[in-house]
Amino acid sequence: MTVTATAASLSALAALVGMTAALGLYGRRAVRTTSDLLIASRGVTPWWNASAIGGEYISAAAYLGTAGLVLAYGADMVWLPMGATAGYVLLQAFVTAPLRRSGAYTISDFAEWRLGSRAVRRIVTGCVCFVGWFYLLPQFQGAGVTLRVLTGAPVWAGWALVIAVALLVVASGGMRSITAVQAVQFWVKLVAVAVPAVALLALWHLDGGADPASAGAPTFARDTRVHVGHGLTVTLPADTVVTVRGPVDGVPRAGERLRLPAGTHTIGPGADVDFPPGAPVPHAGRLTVQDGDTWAMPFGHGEGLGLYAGYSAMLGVLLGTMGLPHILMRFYTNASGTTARRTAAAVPALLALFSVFPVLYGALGRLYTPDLLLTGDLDATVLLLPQRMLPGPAGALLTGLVAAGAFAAFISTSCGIVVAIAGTLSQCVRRRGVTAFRAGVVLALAAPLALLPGIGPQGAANVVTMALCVSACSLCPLLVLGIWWRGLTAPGAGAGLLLGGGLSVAAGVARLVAGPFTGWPAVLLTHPAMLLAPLSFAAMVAVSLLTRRRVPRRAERALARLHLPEDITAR
Amino acid sequence: MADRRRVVVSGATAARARALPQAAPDPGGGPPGAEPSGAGHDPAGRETADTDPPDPPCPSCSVSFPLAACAGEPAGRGGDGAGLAQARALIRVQLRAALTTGATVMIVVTGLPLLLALAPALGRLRADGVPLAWAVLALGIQPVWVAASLLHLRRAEGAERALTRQTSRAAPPEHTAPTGGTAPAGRRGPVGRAGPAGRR
Repeated sequence: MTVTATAASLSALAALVGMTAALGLYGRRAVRTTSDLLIASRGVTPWWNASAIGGEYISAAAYLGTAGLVLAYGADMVWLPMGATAGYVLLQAFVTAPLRRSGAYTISDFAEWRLGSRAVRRIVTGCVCFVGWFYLLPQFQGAGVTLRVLTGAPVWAGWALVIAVALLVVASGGMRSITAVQAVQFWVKLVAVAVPAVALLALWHLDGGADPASAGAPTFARDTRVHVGHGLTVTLPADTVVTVRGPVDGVPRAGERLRLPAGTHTIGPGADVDFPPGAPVPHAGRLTVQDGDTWAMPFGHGEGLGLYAGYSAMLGVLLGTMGLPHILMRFYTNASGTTARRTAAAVPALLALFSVFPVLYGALGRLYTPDLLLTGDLDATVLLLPQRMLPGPAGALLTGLVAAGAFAAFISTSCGIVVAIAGTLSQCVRRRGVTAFRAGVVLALAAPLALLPGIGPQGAANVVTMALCVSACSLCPLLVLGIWWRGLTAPGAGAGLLLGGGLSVAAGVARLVAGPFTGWPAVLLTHPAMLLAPLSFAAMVAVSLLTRRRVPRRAERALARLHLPEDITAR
Repeated sequence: MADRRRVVVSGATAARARALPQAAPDPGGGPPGAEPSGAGHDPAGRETADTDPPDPPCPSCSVSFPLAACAGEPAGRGGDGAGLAQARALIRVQLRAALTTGATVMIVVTGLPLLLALAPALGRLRADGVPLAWAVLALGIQPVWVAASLLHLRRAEGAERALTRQTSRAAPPEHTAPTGGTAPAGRRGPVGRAGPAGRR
């Protein structure tokens, strides 16, 4: 990263933090009551709220992660943004308006009101916390990677920055100020990703428009020096002659030419490797080498496994979107069920605008930043591309823009999740109010921070998929059945939540802590939604039918209230 | 009108209290958490009660969802049973709409990978150098979702409007309900400076 690029991205970052603080302070001035703090007094219009939801949803995973996944895994990953948008269609169809009409602020409130059970409420609160924590992890990690790539700062600097800004915004202004922060940041992110994308696309065209999927395995287009900070195990697809300064395969080298045979090698720690033009790119341990054809083909590899993994990831994203606590909480800021539904209907259009661009970056990344396959820093694709394709001040400017968008992504998503967790937790304690809310904020940030140093490098999108999977296997069945089926009972809901939520959290933790796995266990642990979501639905229905006597007496009325429009209930 | 409303509210609140004893401190129809301040009326309601049509003033209710407890009694005609029957009919219609939308989404989402798995040649097709599968996934599907979402919005709001018309014919209210759903246009709390809400 050049000095100009670093300066540009740092000033963009400063501008973004300044804007966030200004919006936050503006919100603080307007905050008068606790309810302002929590729900922005329910006076947010559908378009404004839809922008805020878009801003909240476009996290590190969507902004940085998707491009990296497309670079590494190809067409399979183009499905994910599509699935996320489809998830909002389902959310609108099944959840939003009735949930808003229930008047529940959090999913826990909804569960307690609908089923009349404190125990279920506690289980739901647990699920909300795990979904939120899993969702926060990649935001912190993404911030760490971004700051490291842009400025060379240690990763914890990025964590600290995001946490500090989130604390400032959330604890001062609450939902009111984050509505403004997020709605504005959606458009910041859209501009930040779209403008450089158009410029890079034009450059690529001028450059001859090389086909990312034409060659065999990816190769370096020009002389490339790769710095490997920490030790890496890599797979080399073909014999290559390289110049190395630092340890390779355990032998220290001092800038001599070296012929590396195809196969597995260890590089680093602290090695500089120069690759000549046309050299094949070594792939970090967990990535498989794909030729252009396999890369461009959806489900082009590992037939049965690939199809299961694809469907399961898709189902997790689809259903998981329905149960995301921070998104659902946003609808409470709408004045009525009808406006909430209109908000939800506007979200797919906004996401569709955004979701083309990360795919574009990923495809260009295979041509211009293939060295990320070697270092494994896939999340840096979007950040590095402008500098690579356009060295000089113009590239630095675009890098600054992209970096501002990336930090907008971390900050807005982190704020949303922190408010969701803190709101849910503070509603559980006896003395509700601003103090409880602030204590919840601290807890929401502290838990993932404690986990962070212990887990290895994980792609942002992978961890977010995990959070979505937990939500798909626990909160989604609860909401769908609670809203549409009067026969749901508290024991039924509890059984489904414990089974689906517990197993998916266990799978996620196992993946984070014990991995990496290979073969079927890896696929099952990474993508359990296909098994667990139906299991959770089935458990809820079966146990509810077994405990039919415990259907709440007011279930019929509760359902009527959920579905009747306000102008009827209010007359 | 007001008398009838009050009677209904107190009856329904009593029913709630029986069913949900632990929610006793919550004076109205709102779920326990809908009242973040925990003291009496929702402060949000105090601010917006006279501005938001969906939250009309009602002394005996939490304002966040004042008359929801009487949801079983749309327009108060025909007693409890008829109201609940109407609600049940509406739920059936809405469920059918939601399932239709859900099925459309699921068919597209499961159908496309299956198509590509069964006919891999499709995945290799190229239009003007761009792989067709990529173009369809990145550009072609998203408009389908936008359309599905807007269609569902229309269907769901249509069902609600039909019911509103039906009940307002049965019991002409003193203030006619806005025909365009319940969008509380223009009149807003302190944040909603943006123009007419919800009219897109």
